[in-house]
Amino acid sequence: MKGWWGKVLRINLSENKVSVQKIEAETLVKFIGGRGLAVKILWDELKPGIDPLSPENKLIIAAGPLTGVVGPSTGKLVVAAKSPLTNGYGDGNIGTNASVQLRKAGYDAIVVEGASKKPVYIYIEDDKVDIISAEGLWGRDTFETERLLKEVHGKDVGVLLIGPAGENLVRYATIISQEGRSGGRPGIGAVMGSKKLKAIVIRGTKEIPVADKNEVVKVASEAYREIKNAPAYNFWMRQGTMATIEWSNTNSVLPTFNFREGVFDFYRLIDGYSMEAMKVTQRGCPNCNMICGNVVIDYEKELSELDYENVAMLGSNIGLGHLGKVATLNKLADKYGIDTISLGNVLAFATEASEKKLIDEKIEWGDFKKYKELVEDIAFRRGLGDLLAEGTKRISEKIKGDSWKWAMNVKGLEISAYDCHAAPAMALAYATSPIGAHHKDAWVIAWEVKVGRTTYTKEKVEKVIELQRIRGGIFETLVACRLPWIELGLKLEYYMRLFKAATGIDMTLNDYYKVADRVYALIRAFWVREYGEKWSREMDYPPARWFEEPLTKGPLKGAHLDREKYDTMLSWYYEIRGWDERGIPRKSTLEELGLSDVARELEKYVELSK
Amino acid sequence: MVIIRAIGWVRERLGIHDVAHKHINKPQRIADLIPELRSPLFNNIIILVNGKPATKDTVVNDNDEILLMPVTSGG
Repeated sequence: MKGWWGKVLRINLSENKVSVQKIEAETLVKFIGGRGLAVKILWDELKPGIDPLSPENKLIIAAGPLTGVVGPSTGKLVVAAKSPLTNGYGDGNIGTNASVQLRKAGYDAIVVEGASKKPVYIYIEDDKVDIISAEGLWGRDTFETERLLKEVHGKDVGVLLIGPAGENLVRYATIISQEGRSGGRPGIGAVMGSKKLKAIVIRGTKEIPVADKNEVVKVASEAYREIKNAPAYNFWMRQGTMATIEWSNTNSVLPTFNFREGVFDFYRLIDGYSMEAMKVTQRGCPNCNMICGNVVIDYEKELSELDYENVAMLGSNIGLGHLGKVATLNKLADKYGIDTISLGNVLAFATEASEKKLIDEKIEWGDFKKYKELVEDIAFRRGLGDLLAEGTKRISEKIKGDSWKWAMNVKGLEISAYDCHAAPAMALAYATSPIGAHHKDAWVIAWEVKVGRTTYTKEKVEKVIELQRIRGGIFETLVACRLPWIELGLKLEYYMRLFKAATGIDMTLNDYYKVADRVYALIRAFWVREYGEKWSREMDYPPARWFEEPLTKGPLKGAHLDREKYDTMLSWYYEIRGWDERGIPRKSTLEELGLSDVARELEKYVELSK
Repeated sequence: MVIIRAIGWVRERLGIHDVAHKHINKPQRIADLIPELRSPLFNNIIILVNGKPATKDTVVNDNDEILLMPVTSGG
């Protein structure tokens, strides 16, 4: 079998045991890799109802057949586990040298089981795997820890690690790499922390097996050339995703004051042009020729890597119109290992709660000093930070009032940086995203602006599903970055050609869509098995604020979502996916997708529609 | 007078500052008013006229506002 190693490295931290498990070719072809492989392992191996922060949870690090293979933006891997933030399936991807090293070490995935009694880190060098004490690293931030690990093991190793937030089980702690590459929004860093696992350090020396090496190089060269010739290439290299600040403000989707508004009076002070004035260097993922990590000097005269999501969430959404200060909050989040999107939501939610006297602490919009204190308090779970470390859903359940209406999350995962008062398709994309509200799977907003904001059509639902198939299905299983395709127009056919060159398997786009549908159905089954009879279509609703509180300013003043029309779109969504009115895959759908065993298991928890 | 606004790389490629104005004597297609848009470089951009979806073939009148934007993904 080419393209994959067909091997999972399994490390049990309770028993200090290491083993290598074979993955059947049939499984790899059905689930490809990355997210597909991760959910397959979690579905097969996790006991439903376990505490995500207990040793029973498993941490999955999964690559795909394109990971590490030369080709546009293929330096990514997926981290996954049962989420401590949502109690459902959680994952995220990270662009990191660790992805390339993992594949060169001879594995497609790592499964970390159990929990160590004392802090440890794992060192992998091809077939040699050591579990090493991390007593001297525990408590240190991610930047310092990675530097220390590289001093010991060499600069060329790949490192995945957690900071104090993961150690202290902050429910939206992420896994970090290379001083600012962050992934696993639904608390995958906390899962790593619960296992007392500070870091995974990887060095690989093997050649990744591909079916046709010459063809891989040929296709990759063509694709790299096409990227460089794209009309937006030079502008992209200057601003990267930061150009989206201006775009979002223009279209009234820039999250502002806890998603009350879609425009920010001071957006010019945090936009791509402001960033350009402060930029000192750029960083990127391995194998990428359109690197997007823009590094600036922050308010404290240190480096901070910015992108749109963290600037919008730690800028306009908390009323902070000073890019240097936004960069400092972002840097702290990266050092401590906190998800910037959830953090921006939590800080905004706390500010609104303070305004409405639902919490005693005085927090004002744009108060950098206070926000900086809170970020530290969250990471170390001190004072109010201990509550804020729980995420908006749990905080809302604690402080009560009408706060559930403006706790901006879906299924417990905080919403990323696009306001949806006037974007029903984007709202549907958030609501049906397989990990809770996240833009990764279906960033449909640009298309929606193009075709019209105020309509609720079946065409929009079809577009959401198409994007979920491509972004959440193809890119998350291959594993590769979606930005060359979505930002610079690289044709999808390149990825199909690369897949064929790497694996020898000729798949059409439709074949791949079926894989994507299988992965989506399995992820949905995972959620339903966890929630059982408590599962309902209400889980696929965006926050009440977008339905009930119209925008008060900007070009779309007065706009809000229509609940009844949204509900119709949701029914269309289920119908197209072959799920029933509760949002549960029908038995026939599961069977058609080759998931009959999943149907049999799921029937133990809920009644399945035919 | 037609108001033309553009953002991001589209603005820079067209050489427009924040806002440009063009006089028209009669209703005109956007592609005629801004001939640069005929280039394939601009095949996949977003065009709005007075906030509503439009294409290069949309006819604009006096006092209309055209907004030209790239497709972006934000990360």
